[in-house]
Amino acid sequence: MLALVISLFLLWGIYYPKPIDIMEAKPEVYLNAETLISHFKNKDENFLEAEKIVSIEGTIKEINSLNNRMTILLEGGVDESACVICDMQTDQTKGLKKFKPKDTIRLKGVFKGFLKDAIFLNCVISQRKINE
Amino acid sequence: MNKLIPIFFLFLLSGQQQQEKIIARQGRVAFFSYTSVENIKAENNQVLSIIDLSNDEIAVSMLMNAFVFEKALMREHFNESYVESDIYPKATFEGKIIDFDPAQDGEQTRMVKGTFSMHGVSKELEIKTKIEKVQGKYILSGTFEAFVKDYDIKVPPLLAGNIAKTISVDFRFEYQPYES
Repeated sequence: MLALVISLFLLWGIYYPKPIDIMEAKPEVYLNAETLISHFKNKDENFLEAEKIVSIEGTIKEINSLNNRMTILLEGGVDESACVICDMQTDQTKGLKKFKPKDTIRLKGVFKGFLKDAIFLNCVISQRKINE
Repeated sequence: MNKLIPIFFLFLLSGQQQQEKIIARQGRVAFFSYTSVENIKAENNQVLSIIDLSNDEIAVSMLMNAFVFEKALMREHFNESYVESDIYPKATFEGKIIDFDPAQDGEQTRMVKGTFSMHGVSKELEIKTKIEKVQGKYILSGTFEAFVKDYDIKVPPLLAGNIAKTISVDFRFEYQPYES
């Protein structure tokens, strides 16, 4: 009976995997937004593998709620039009109210890849410091 | 599809007439599969699109692994078994807005004709699209249907009842001036 219960538990885990808890997850890579974009600009697209959990720090370019998603855009560099797009988890809305463009922020999220910009999903605020 | 990616980036990076280009970095594409067994929906809110207003050309690019599902298992099946996003990470569309008048304020409905590439398969599509121009800002939106079999997506017989043969796709792009 115990074996059956354990088997069912394991099968449940295989067929119904839990989503990653980003808040608790340890980042696999630490980067700043400008470094990431400069690699992309140098055609070094394989610099960062998709699905890696990344801690990324940068200057806020814009905060918006387009498509009812809280999104932070981090500047990619002084003369760069490319940026880092971080789609925030819904539980981060309250914490985001303290931030405004030009503030520095550190986020943690799952890297998805590059289009014109670097894209991160499931982002949470991991540490922040406000510019004076 | 890999051959299309450099063409797309050339389109993005061309230095001429940039003032006439508009960009949507956070376009939304959602798809729906309705069956008696299960309804599946997913959305991607980081779809890139650029329109060149000088020649009405439009390009769209999206990361397949950036679709968000209700359940982690659906996401896993989608990426690993159906669209194989590690092999085919992007889907692209390149086309032209037919009879588009960028100067016209308000709403106009136009056909967008072009090539949609996904999972290594390219298909010609013609999509009815609503174009709104409000205070100088363009918004494109619409719905079309895609046939799963057209894109060489193999659904295991055991799950055939869970996936609709025709997938409904919604899209909405809000554009801003493109400053490179």
